[in-house]
Amino acid sequence: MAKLTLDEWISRLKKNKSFNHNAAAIVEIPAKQGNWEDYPAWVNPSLRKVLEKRGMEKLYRHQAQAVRFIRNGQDVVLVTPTASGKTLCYNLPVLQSILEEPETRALYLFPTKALAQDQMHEIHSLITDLAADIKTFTYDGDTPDNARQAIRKQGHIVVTNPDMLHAGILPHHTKWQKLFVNLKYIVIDELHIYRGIFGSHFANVIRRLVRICRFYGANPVFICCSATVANPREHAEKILERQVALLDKSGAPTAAKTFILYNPPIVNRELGIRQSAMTPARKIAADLIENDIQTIVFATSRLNVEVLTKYLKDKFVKTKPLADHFVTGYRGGYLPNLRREIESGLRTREVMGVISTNALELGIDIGNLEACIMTGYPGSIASTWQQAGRAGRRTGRSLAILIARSNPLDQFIMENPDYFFALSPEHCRINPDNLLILLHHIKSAAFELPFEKGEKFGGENLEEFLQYLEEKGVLHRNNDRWHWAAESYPADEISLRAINPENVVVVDTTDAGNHKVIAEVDWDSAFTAVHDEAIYMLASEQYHVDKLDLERKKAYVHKVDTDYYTSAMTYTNVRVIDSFENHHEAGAIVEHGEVQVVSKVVGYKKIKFYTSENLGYGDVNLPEKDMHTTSYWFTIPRDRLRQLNFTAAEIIDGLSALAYTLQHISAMYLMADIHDIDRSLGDKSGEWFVSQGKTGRVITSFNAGKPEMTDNKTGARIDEFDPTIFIFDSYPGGIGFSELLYREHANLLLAVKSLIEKCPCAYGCPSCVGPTLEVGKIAKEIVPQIVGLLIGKSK
Amino acid sequence: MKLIDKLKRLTGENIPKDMVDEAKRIHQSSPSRKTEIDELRHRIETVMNRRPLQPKTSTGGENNLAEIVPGEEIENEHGRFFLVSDIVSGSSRHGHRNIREAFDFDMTAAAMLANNPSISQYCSSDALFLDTETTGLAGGTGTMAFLIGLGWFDEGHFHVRQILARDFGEERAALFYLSQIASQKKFLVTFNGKAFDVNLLTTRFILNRLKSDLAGLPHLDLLHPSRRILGHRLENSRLVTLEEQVLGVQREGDIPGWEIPQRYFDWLRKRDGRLLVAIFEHNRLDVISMATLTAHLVEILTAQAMAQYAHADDYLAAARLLLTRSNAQGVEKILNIFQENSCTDFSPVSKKKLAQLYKRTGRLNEAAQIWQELAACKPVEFYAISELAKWLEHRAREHHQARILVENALNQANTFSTEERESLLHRLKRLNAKLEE
Repeated sequence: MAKLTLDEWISRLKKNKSFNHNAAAIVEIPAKQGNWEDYPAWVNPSLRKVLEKRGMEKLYRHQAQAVRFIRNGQDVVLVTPTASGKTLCYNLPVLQSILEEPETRALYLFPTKALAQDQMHEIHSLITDLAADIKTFTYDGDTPDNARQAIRKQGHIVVTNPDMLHAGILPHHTKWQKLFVNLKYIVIDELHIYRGIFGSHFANVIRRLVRICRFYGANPVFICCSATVANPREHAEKILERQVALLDKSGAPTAAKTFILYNPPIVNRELGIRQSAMTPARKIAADLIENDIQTIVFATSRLNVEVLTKYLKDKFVKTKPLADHFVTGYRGGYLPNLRREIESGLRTREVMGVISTNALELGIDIGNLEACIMTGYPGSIASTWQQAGRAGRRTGRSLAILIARSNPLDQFIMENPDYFFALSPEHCRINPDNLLILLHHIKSAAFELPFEKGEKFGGENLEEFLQYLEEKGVLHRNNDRWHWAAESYPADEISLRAINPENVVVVDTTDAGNHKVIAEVDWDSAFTAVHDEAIYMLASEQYHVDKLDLERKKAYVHKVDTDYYTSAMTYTNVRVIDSFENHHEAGAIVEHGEVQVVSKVVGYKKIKFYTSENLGYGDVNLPEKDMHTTSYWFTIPRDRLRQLNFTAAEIIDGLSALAYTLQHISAMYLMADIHDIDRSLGDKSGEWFVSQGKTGRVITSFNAGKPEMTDNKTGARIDEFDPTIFIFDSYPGGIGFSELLYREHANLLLAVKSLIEKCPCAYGCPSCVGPTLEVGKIAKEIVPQIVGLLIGKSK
Repeated sequence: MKLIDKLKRLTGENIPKDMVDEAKRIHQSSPSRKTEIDELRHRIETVMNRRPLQPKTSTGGENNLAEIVPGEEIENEHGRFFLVSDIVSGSSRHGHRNIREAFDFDMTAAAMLANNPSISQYCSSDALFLDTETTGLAGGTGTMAFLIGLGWFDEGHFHVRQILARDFGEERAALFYLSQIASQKKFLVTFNGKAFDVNLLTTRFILNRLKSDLAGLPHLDLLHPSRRILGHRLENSRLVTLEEQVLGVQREGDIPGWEIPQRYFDWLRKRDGRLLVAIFEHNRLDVISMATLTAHLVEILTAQAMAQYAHADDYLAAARLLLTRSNAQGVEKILNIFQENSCTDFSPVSKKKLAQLYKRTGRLNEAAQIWQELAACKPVEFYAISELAKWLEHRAREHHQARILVENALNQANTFSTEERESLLHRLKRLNAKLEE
């Protein structure tokens, strides 16, 4: 059979009826002309020659612009698509500057070690061609001790990650004197990765970095690069605490791209369950590869990578004996050598199909692939474009197919292609002044340099923090300076990436003589995932939890083969402490502010696989967790709800369903993990709240301080309280999500309504209002009506 | 709400209502809480027990420091600090020796110890002995050296200066004083100063925006040669251990090093000079011991140590050190000790080391004599047999004797591994061939 070209393959696909039936959108993105500019006159001739030899006869307009800005000492944030040559935007001015003044130093920050390594190779090859005495090194946890001193003294360009900067470089800045004194440029790539908790920590690391630079009299230029998000400049300015110029018009030409959103067919209408995204992914990938169309498949988990790789390998082995890596997996956990081999195999087309986690999403050079298949929505529009960008870098047509799963986010994208293809609605949010995060970095900063009276650090009153730390005996005040006066090393006390650095290890005791640690669960998830009697699932194996030992931070499990899984029941009670802002919108009161959240795992349900039948309950006795955080919430006056033609119990179902959907939609706006935020339905005083009990919904209300629990069906006391939906940050002190949600209130509700109305399920499903077992069969009907009340009559 | 209250709430500290809740929760017997509380109780008890030693009354304030510790306030262009000066007279005793006996040590040997030839051009009174007491061991920019102990020889006596920063604000003046003294000296002697003290002081100079040549001075760090020469008979290489086991110094009521940072933090709060007394004494002894330790190591290296304080194995280690520094003369001198003294009471391990030294310095006959002794020990070991056989074959050209030796060894009780046995069999084959020629 003759092989098809990609163009022929696509037109054949477009004629396929059943495919068309399930394609939520097929969008042709036309090729775009590039625009170029000449190199500025000041560019060093040999540097220019090296670049020209690599095919860069001229600069793209955005590159020329960036280089100009940076040359003038302007801090910039660059927002341009994959393969638009953004690394040149910083490598050119940095190398130029070192050629002019050999003492010049630059610091490059990448969010991961792998990216840092990859960038290192790129600069290194530039420098080699340049035949100049410029030294560039990566400095991370893997850097051997005996190399470190040379790097500190001689490295012109030091490539590292934020964690190393935080714990390895800043607390030892005197050893880096040479670098700091001569530091001219700081490059921060993948700026959008620094959001939420990681971003809030990162902004403080930058505060510390700037403070140390000031000590050495350096005032470096910041060069940031970000994927497309809604607020790149605002985000950069919040992290850098200074004005930043935004460059977001790419001058690079782009090839034509066919972008398809594919929603697998529904297999169970009742439950709204669709065919697994893996099935079409496998078929499409096999067909593409068979036609010699080089393809990358993104899967959402390591396990899925392995499963898909096996399917595809099996398929091709049948037809002919294969070169080792004709089709291969790629993910973290593969040894570096193997990864390098696969990367170069992709460039030489020895590898025709690669199945990867998002490990290949960012910057690593794998050449120009033709087709990209995404098995499941990568979680954000920015990531989706980055993944799609791995196919088709400059010329010719390329193909990107996003295959949806059943969850609300994926389904929302399928139902709202405009939302996906129009301007990005995704915001990067951080809260660098979260008191706990700020406190930690003030400690680290004091360790690095004593604080002087009148100094500024962060948006809160620094002196109060210093007094607090003085009271704690960590700092000592002398002549209006606060000195670190403790034996510890504060940077070691915190991880930039985790909410709570504590973990619970899962110990498999199946083989009595040979206990094995099989997993780690973070502290907060442990309460719901590995409580006593839970079924813990790992790599499709089931384990029964015999004992959760919180003191020793261990969960003892043994392997079982059951037909059910468990789902923890928690109650979450939210009480408003302080409202920062409020307004009325169509009768509801919308607010954001500070809240107290008390949560407790009270029990669990056993749920049968496939049928989702409820097989029974058990109690769990774990301590309550008490947290102060920030939240967005809105309150609906009970009188208004009474206007709806539903019973009180049905309305509670509807409100719970609304909260469920709202949480998912909010996570989408925030580019946040679904666990970074949480939801609750109650009233503002915390005296009345709704939770999931053994036999359905339970309403707890406090009567003179005593809790009374009632079944939703019998009496909800809805007449006595005004129901409030809370969406709050799952981190003590908050990470800056609430205010954005408050501002986007109306848009969020519209998105909720649209998602639910467009969902083809019969009575509600996990893709829209949540599982009907939890929210009842009428929720899907009520939610749009409640939303109708909240967004006024015009909509 | 005030920021501090918010912070306390977020970190879960002392809010009355929360404490009530807390109590309730503890009552629900959560195990982790319980141990936390027990731990807290234990800590409170420890603090309470410690209290009588540190009376609350800080009446005299820091004024009483000079009464308790004989020193004075010094002022220079960078501020003030507190200085304790002391002269340890040449006739006073420190462990096994008089201070005077530590003076005027051999500079070639000192340079060997430091592995820095430039030191040999100086004299022992050019040495600056240095030891710091710090606010922690973590390293990094947040650790301060609050007490800098210095020492040097002058006309047969040992001068000690202890520079105390009574608070962080005095650090700059203290460092400046240090740099002034250091500029008059030619090289540094420390114990683990390369990895710790000098590194840390360099950081502090930078933080105080002061210039320092400290890191540029030639540096004899005693830790490494002590480990090499004496490590074989010590459980660890701490200075106190060396004092006890080698120098004969017994400290009484010495403050353990790990208590020092907290003691200083207590001083910062209470300003009670009594808190610092033990630290000054600890530091003073450290500095003096470094001087006598230097003398002792030099004596071993020059084969001049008093017999009762030096072990044969110390000499062997010293000779090996000299060998790596290509100092054949020095090795020779040490080996001569063994010629004069019988070494029959040596352990086989020491004998082996000695034989290796003889071999590497070309004194094969002496080596062979030891190999013979070793070869006579039962069960026989490969080293002795193989070396002796080689010597008999190639040097003494006693092929016949060599064959008997190897044959006997193979038939006797021995500790040979398969490869060793094969190697000997191979040698035997060759010897047989040679004998048949």
